[in-house]
Amino acid sequence: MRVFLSFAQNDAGPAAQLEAALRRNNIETWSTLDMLPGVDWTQALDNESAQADGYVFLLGANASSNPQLQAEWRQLLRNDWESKKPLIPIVHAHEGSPSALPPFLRSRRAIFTTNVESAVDEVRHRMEHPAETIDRTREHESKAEWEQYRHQLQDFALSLRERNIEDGGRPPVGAKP
Amino acid sequence: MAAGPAPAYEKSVFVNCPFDSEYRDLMLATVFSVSAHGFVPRSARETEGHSEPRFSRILATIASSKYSIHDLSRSTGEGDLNLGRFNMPLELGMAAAFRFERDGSSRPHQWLALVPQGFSYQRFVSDLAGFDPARHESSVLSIIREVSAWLGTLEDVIDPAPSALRILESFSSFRDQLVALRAEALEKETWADVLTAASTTIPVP
Repeated sequence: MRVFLSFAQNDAGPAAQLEAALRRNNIETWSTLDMLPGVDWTQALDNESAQADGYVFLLGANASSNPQLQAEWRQLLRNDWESKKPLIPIVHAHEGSPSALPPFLRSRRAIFTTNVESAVDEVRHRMEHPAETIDRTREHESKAEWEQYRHQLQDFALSLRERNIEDGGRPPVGAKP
Repeated sequence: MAAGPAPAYEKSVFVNCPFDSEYRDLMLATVFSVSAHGFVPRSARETEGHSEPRFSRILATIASSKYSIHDLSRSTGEGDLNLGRFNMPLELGMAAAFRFERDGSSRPHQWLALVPQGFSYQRFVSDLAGFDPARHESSVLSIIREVSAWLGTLEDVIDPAPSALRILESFSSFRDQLVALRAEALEKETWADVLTAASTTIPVP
């Protein structure tokens, strides 16, 4: 079992604690704390995230607005393009709330804790049971959002068609009458 | 012009990429990925045939989009005269200006630049250094993967969105649907057709 630990630089302290705790519990872990001097940052992130079986996101305050972290997340998502890796958010309970989760983690069940070392057992459990990383309530809510979105897209296509007719063009076939 | 339901600013992604036949599948891959994340793909093609100058129409569409995607694939020399196409870098410049001008406002703008692997963009547009353009392999898969990775991190995405793999698997249905719409319309395809095809074929997460 190998995890990639993602965190913002100002969370380096708790990240080091979590990484050590995961390793003590025989969960192989890599994070940018392990980066050797002179190594290409982008290449290392790419290699390590591709090899990981799952991603753990340690999230402090304002993580979602951190540009460096967002670039890292892009790389992780690129290497999980089949959506097979468990994504496990760990939020510092005294700093964060569910609404502070990055967009791609909103449908994941976050672990809220003030003691990151206590999250290790839950990380192991979720790595072994990926389906339990999903927030089913949020997943259900998103179905309504998708339905609404499809209608909006079709309505917009219809409005373009109407404009097109006014301008003397042809209506798109298949559009709503 | 009819006052149709304009898509919400937060849901609009301006797509700035080549529309030529050689690039067509890659353009469609970008559009389909945008749709499969709950965003509305916007383009200058929406207003084809309008009397307003194209430059003004593009500016207006970017201005009404919170996000934009710019593929610089065709910005190299082509043809007997080895001319580069500068429309795409020009439109990226517009988006970059919006991002700068609107930073911290209630209508911010975010953009993604796409470049082909091995593309020496650093040499002819060195000001992009530090903006981490997404590199693709001029394939549908690589475009879907790169664009999806960026869209997934955006504030206004619908989460969960389908995986890049699911989007890739549904891509041929989208393209087939569009081919059928084109055939019925005697090969006169409009942007509305593209959106209609996308709305009926985007995969369920």
